Amino acid sequence: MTAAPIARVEAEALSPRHLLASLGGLALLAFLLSLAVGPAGPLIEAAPGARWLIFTEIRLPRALLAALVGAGLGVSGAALQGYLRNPLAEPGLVGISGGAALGAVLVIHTGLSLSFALALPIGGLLGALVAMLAVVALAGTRGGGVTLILAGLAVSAFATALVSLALNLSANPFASVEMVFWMMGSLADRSLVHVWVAAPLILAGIALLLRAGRALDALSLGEDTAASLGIDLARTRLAIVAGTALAVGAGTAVTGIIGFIGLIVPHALRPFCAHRPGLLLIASAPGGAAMLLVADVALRLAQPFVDVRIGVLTALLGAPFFVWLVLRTRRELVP
Amino acid sequence: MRLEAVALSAALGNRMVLRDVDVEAHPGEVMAVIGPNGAGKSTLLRVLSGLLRPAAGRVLLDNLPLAHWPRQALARALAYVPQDRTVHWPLAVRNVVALGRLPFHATGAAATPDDREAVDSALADMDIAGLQDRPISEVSGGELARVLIARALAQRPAVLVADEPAAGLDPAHQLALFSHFRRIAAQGCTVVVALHDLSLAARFCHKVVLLRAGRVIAAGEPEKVLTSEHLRDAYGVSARLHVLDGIPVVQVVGELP
Repeated sequence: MTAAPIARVEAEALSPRHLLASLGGLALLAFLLSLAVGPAGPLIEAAPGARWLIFTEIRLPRALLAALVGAGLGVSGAALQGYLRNPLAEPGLVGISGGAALGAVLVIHTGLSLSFALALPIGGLLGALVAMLAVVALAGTRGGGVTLILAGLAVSAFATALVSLALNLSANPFASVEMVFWMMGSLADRSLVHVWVAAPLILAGIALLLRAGRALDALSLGEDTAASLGIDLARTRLAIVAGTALAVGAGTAVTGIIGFIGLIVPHALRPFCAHRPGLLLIASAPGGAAMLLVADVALRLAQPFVDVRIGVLTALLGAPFFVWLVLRTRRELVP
Repeated sequence: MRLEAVALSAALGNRMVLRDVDVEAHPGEVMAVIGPNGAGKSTLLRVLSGLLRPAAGRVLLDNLPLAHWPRQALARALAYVPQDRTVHWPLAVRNVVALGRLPFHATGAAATPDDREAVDSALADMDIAGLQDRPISEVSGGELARVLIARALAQRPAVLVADEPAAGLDPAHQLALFSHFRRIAAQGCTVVVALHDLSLAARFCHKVVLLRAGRVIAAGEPEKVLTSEHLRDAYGVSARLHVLDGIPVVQVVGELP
């Protein structure tokens, strides 16, 4: 076969421990960088009274959210790609982010978002939950990846239609603008309360997904072999959907839709994990955190010149990456 | 361990694929399941491995119904090699073989010396130790077949069920594979293989089960099953079992009208 750098087992020199340590270090560095950067400049230069305020009210929630949401997106992406054995899968595919977006948009549409601060994230969470239940009910506990993808597409399509309907019927132009901006995704102006709401759910989701690592490894050899190796396929499927709902649903509920992280991060890290789905799952947590933190830092550095939302930036970076993936896949299929 | 099917029927969708099948494989035995395409060989192997629930009848492993076996314990006792040889990621050969150790680990546990030993000997037994660092996407079809058998051997199973393991192997590796099946059987393993090569079945298997249209039409010692009458009934060919230099060979003369 002449094909394909994808087929190489690169990075044999990097042991799993070193890989995870490096990625962890990278994420930590990005986290500290995120704390240091902002319109107010380095915290050391700030007025002593303002310093603590800037730190706890602005920088810390933002960095924590970027790390958590990024990790959740990374792990969910790796889990779905491993479960579906398809490198093009991403969390948006199973309808969870669509559901969360619909929940938040409905909260804005009904004006509930004005009545109390946490109405938006709670609406998003409920939306994600309903979407998850719909996907599980539609896809069932048995059957291969295709039924899951189809169920996710159906739920996504329905959620998108309802979001459009809400926008369409919105009598208040300010509400419309708010809905559109919310869907673009943002880490700005979130408080520590947002972090406390989302963190336990995102962490629970990540924990649930990480437990599926063995199953994903076994699924490399197909469903029958995985089952013969003692993997409970129905339980694995449920864990993947519920874990994604928690990790991505809670993240999306607080930040809006941030695309492509869940697609790109597992892709970029796969060669360094010798293509092992279980290892990739773990590596994608610090990898996703680092990537979203860095993107958010870049965003804030560019802010004086151009004010771009994080979801727009990841899409701007992600779409060309997707094109590159398409071209590479085409090269492999047509040598 | 003894693997036994009693009055077994199985369906794929609404279609009955196996009807009233009784088979019995004992430790120390290599049992061949033969029959024309679509006779139900793969389905029988999947039911025997607990991957497909029977529509009627039952499968007993060590006298206990498969449904009563805890998932993990069953995975430690019985290894299954499917006919489908797809590996979904370009994993290194060694990592594929190491998946056979999965039933012996909880999440995240590191490989023990025992695991490494099992993987090393499985690689050596299938003559692929030299390929162990190569991506699975870069090995040949016959090498891939041996990698997947090695994966099952790494499980150190009491029962090995393999669906057409010899397909795509060169003659030397076919002989080596079946000699190895004999060897692990001699060590107490129960081996069940589906295959099309009747001469391999005649030469290496202690027992042959001949399926046609989901029913057993003959079962027992190779020379009692591989008769011209049975082969005519099952395959519609005229064929004869010869012994050449002490080696049984099935000669297929031609199709019958």
